[in-house]
Amino acid sequence: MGVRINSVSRLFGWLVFAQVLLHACGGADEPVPDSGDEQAAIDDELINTYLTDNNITATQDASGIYYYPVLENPSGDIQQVSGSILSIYYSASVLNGQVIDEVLAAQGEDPYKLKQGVNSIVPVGLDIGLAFMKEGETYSFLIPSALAYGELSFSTLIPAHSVILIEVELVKIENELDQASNEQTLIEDYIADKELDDVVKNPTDEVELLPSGVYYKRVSEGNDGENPVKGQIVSTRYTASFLDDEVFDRITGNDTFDYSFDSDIVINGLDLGLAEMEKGERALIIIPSAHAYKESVGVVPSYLSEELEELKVIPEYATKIDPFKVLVFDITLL
Amino acid sequence: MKLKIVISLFLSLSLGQLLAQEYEISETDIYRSPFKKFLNNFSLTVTTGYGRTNYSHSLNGFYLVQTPTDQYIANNDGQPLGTEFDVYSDWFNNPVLAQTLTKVDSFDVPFPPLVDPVNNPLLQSDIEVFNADSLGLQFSGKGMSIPLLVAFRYNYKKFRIGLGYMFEYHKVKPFQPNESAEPLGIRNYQPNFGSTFYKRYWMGLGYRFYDFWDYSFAGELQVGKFNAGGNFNSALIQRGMYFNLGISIEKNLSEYFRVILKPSYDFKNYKISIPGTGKAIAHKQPTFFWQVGISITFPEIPRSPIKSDHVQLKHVIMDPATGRYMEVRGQPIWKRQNPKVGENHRKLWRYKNKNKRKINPY
Repeated sequence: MGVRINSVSRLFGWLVFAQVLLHACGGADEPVPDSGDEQAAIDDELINTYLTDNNITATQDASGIYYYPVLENPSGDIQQVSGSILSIYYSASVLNGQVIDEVLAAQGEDPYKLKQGVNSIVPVGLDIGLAFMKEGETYSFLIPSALAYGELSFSTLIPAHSVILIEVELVKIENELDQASNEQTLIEDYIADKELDDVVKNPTDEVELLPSGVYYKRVSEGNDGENPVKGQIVSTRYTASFLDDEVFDRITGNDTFDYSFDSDIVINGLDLGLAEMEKGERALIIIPSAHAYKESVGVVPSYLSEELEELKVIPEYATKIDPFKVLVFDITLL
Repeated sequence: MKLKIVISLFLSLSLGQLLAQEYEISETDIYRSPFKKFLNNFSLTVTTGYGRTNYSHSLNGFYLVQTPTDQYIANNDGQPLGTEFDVYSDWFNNPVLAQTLTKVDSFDVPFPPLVDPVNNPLLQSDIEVFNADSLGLQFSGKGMSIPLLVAFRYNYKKFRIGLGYMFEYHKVKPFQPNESAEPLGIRNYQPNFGSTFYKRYWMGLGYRFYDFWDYSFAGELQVGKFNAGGNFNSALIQRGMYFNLGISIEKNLSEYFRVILKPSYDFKNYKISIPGTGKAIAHKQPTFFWQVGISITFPEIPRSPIKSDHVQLKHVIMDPATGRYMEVRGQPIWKRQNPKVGENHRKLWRYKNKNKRKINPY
């Protein structure tokens, strides 16, 4: 009998051991990740609590954002339409938290320009909200995290899954033509300021306005008659800056930037300018935004652009170039 | 006269002693099968178990090219990669020219802007290129095997020499990049198969270096040919001989039968050529095995053919079929052939299951 008890207890011992092993392999209970719906419900509750606490009546859009007018302009007859270029002042903050970014008239800043309705604004909720506004109005938007920055967090300023509150004043609504003429003014001021038409101070030729709207100025002569032809691989070196001389990209030293000319490989303005150039020539090409990065991506706040680029939310050029920027390429065709 | 009597008595006693036999048969009367005697020099071993393979390889001389869905390698000939280059997939087992990729930093300056830029799916389709040389990029991964081994060996004194065949069911896990590469977003490399069958043939040499009661310890070396099976492109693989070193721990249950526990370590490598580059990638593939099994030495004498013969020890009978004397075994091969009292029945009769409930089991 003693033998039997012994073998039974040994079997039991093995079973316990096996159980322990199985448990060890299974690992600890992991928290179930929040689904998008759950997060949306949390955000929604947060927004509603805020609205109740502050006694605000807001409208909820189908997308999930809430909006309410702060300063209405019923007589303002210019309802913005999709694709309009909007100049706005804004103040953005995390709901129940700190201000994360602001551009205000009171601080003497120029309004921020962006294009609505073409999926070129982050947070996406702001793009949706701007559609409800008329010129001269001020609105507040409560943007759930899914339409703001989602899981992205930024130091202690913006926690992950933040609901964003943005108050926007729509200063001006413009179209592409308005923008083109604005930029033309800016470019002409730049030319005058730099005395680019003074061929003594700045050889060799005056600035030429090409029919496309791109400005071209030859800085040093190249080989006569050797213009690039479509499909040809051209080799270049350049320094690219904005009108305020801030350099945002450069290919210098032994590096060259080579591409197939006039094949839609690069921004259209560069090809338009390069078409005027000869091999060996150095020139200045001033490209209005319409022939460069147009509306690019309007990121509020702009310091998030690097993170957003890493998350593949916005393209890399948008980290360097704000909406509606005129570019100046000091380029040499090798 | 007296002397004559003494001499004749001595002679007759000596002769009697000379003629008288202790047994009725002599050793030479016993028939022994020469075939069985020959076979007695050989043992058959069958084992199974568990093997763990540690794969590793370096991508020296190549770029790792990563798209959102795939991983490839591209030749690094010391020149910048350029915008168009050939990439090869499945460099672990079957490298083929997958496609020609065009890599541009197409979302950077001065490339054109995107329509619908925010959350554009095109942003995800970025190609990433990593220089394996400057990163010291290596991948390592684990594999798991269940082997089934059959070996046949010739025993000479304490030496053993043999031949064998092993069949292995093998599972491969994804390969991980080395630590320095992980923060760069290099993903795990997934071979294009999950499981496969490996085969191998070998010649083995062993020496039983230690005996301790019922236990024997033998060092064994296998040298042979490893066949990685259909998932590997054998035309591109150069593989030398593999060798395996192990210690066979044997519990001798009887003269003919033993249970084996064998830890062993496989040294094996291969090189796989990347077509069109003139280069090859060296893969290490060592495996540690734990194998358990049985080994049988063929007995030189048969079991007694007589049904009523319950003699326990080896003994001589007259074969009823041929009328020849033959030596036979009284025990199956897995039991002691000449047991001492109780040796083959360690559990007392009364404790055997069928007798446990009996008042008087005998």
